[in-house]
Amino acid sequence: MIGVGKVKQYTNVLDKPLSKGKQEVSLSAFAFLFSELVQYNQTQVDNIAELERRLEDAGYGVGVRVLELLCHRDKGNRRETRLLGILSFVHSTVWKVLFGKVADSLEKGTEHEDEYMISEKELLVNRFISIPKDMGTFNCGAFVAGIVRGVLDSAGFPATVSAHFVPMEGQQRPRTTILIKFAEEDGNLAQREREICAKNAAFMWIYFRRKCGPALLSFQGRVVLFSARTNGLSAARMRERDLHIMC
Amino acid sequence: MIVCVAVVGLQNNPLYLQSFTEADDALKLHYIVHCSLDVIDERVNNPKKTGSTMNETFLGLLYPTENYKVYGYITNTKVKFVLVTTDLDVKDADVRSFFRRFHSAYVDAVSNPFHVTGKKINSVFFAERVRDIVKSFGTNTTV
Repeated sequence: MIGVGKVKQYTNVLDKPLSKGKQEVSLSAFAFLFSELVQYNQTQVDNIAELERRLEDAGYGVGVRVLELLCHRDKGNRRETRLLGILSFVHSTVWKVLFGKVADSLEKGTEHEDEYMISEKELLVNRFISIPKDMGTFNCGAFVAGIVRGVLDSAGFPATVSAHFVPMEGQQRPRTTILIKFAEEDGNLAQREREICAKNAAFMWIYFRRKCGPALLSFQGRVVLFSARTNGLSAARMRERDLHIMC
Repeated sequence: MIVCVAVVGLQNNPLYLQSFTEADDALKLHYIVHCSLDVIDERVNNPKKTGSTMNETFLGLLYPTENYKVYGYITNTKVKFVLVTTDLDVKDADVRSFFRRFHSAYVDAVSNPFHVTGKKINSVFFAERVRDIVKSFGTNTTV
């Protein structure tokens, strides 16, 4: 470590201590490496689904290591045990470390209880890639889907993750959406969330009741909003979902 | 004096087990580590009170046996670190800083692209770093 005293003058450049280095990698270097990865996998497979699966597996390894590294470096001593917590962790922290910015949006699917979507106007990995027409719906974002799957899997939330193009009117290139479908059997995930929410709510209930006796009805709304985190989710959807959980 | 450190994986499979005394029977230490896994499971699945302690990584003193104290730490990926020591007057802050350095060595070992998750850690550098951390435990309280 260089001391806080005066800086030593080095006569020989070889004697200077190594600098810490930049925390960023050049985009072109990454683009070359990624294009080589896709090309290499293309020669090994016969069909599109296999190629997508290989890219996803490559991303899976990255996801597992990223989770370990980030939890130790940035999160200090906290563990993520909540669904919303891990999703917002992926949406902001992981995206920031990997791509330099947070993801564009995080949404909850309306048809199924356990589907979520992270969308991005243009994925960094797809920036220099254009898919030929005969490859159909193949998306190199499968690599990013693999990263997300790696993070969720090692955190204890098994899920299937896939990347899709969603065409938007008024824009040349379609938006990319990462679809996350949680795979807990028999609705265990929803059950776990309900239990945790109920425990939180009970704790809050006792606390509020001690502080101010009556006005019980207005508590329920406040308790619900209090006990769930609201990072990134649209407020209306959130409230409806949590009221559903409380009933 | 630390006698044993262990890294135990997701399905309670051992990933790294190292004892630092020649005198004691290594098997007995392995047995102690194995028993402490039960205590860790119970601590993690039934948190004593909701709120701040639910998400802590440092689990604290697991249980004291006849001459040993066992400390536990769990990471975000459900990988557990277990530390067995014979010191009687170990400060909490010392153990925490030990686990922090140990966690950082573990993260470096896992970031190796040739390491398969769920298999034993075969890295020589990791073993060396663990030895250094163990040697400097308790002697100074630097980060």
